[in-house]
Amino acid sequence: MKNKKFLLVFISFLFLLIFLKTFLSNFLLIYPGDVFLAFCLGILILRGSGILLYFCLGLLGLLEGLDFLKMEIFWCIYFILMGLIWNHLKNYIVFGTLEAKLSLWILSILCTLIIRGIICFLNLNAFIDWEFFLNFLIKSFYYIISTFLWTVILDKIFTVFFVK
Amino acid sequence: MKKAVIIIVIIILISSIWYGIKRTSLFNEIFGFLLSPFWKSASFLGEKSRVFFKNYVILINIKKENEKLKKENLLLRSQLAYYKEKDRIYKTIEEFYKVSTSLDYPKIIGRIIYRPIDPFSGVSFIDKGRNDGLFPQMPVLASVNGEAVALVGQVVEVYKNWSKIIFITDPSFAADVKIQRTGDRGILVGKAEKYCNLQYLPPASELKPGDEVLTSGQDALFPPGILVGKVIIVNKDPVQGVFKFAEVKPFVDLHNIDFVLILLKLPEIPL
Repeated sequence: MKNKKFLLVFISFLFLLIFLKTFLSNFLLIYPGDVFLAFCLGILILRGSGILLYFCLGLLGLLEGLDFLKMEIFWCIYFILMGLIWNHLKNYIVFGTLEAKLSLWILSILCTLIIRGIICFLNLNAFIDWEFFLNFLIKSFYYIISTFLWTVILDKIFTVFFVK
Repeated sequence: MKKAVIIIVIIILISSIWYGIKRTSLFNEIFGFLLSPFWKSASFLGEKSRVFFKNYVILINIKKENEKLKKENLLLRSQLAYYKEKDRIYKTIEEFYKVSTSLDYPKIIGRIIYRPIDPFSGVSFIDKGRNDGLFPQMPVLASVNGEAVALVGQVVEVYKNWSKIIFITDPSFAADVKIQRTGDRGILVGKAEKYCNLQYLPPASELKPGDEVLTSGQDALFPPGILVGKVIIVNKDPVQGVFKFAEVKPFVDLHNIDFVLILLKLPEIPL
């Protein structure tokens, strides 16, 4: 995909997703899923490498970091690193197959979940008991499912409209 | 490639200089400026749709009346708690000092423009910032009819036209509180769940489920006598066995508030 078209797709979808995320969390009062991570995984399928891709990933990382306290740069670097790792993995894995895509998506979502969990535990002043742990597992499961759904939806849209 | 690297270095330099001068993130200032209209309009639409479904589709009158009564009840309880606390303080120190504790800080109403409802934190954004006189660590309260009723959180990051607040359920939140009935003090901490933990309560404390929890004012951040929540479970602290611990249910449904009151009160040195 050419730079101009990619940038146009990125910006329009970015604003749409910001709007959707804010609307859904306000309307349903539930966590709508990690939309920015899903978008990041979606655009990694659209484009393999290039400065523009890493710029977009960095921007998504900064937006992801808004949900945390003073962690914007960390998330920016994390998203860019994820892009670099995906690019490196292309030497070993064929991205065309559904299995490869699914496993990489799940792996990325799990990695992000682990980082989120670590941040949560580092901030935590309360003690951890089995009830807290059980709640954490349920929330993690919900996080994986909702983010994965967003990833599948965005990938489908990108594949139908932009790849073919 | 070379051009891109130069641009990135320039961006990093500018943001570092900005942080050095303003002590805030340049990116967040830009995002706030660019995305505020999006957050505001999406929040407004979401809020209106939610209210429509809540009030007009599901049990029009009963739901409305219940909400109104709940709000009135909360307001009255808050006033009662405030006056009881004030009365107790006066009775205790009247003989010794001529001191008065007052909640009459200037307040400002903020609208919640973005709530991530993140399962692992309790961060939200409000539409008031540095321009409106906000500073980090200012207390955030729920409001009913323009009156502050219960503590909901604290301002943590302030930008030009917006701010980040954390709710009392956020893992990084902590406040010095006391049980209204017994006067026992403890530390209220969030744990990214519906309820908060009240830790380091004295072992001889006679608190029981249903007791109301108020801010003690001893942490120098929150004024004394603000309603926080209600005790629902009392137990022995599994980690610090000497102490007791309780689970506290906030008086306000933190995800369901659209407006908050920010007390323009800076941290002070405790008495």
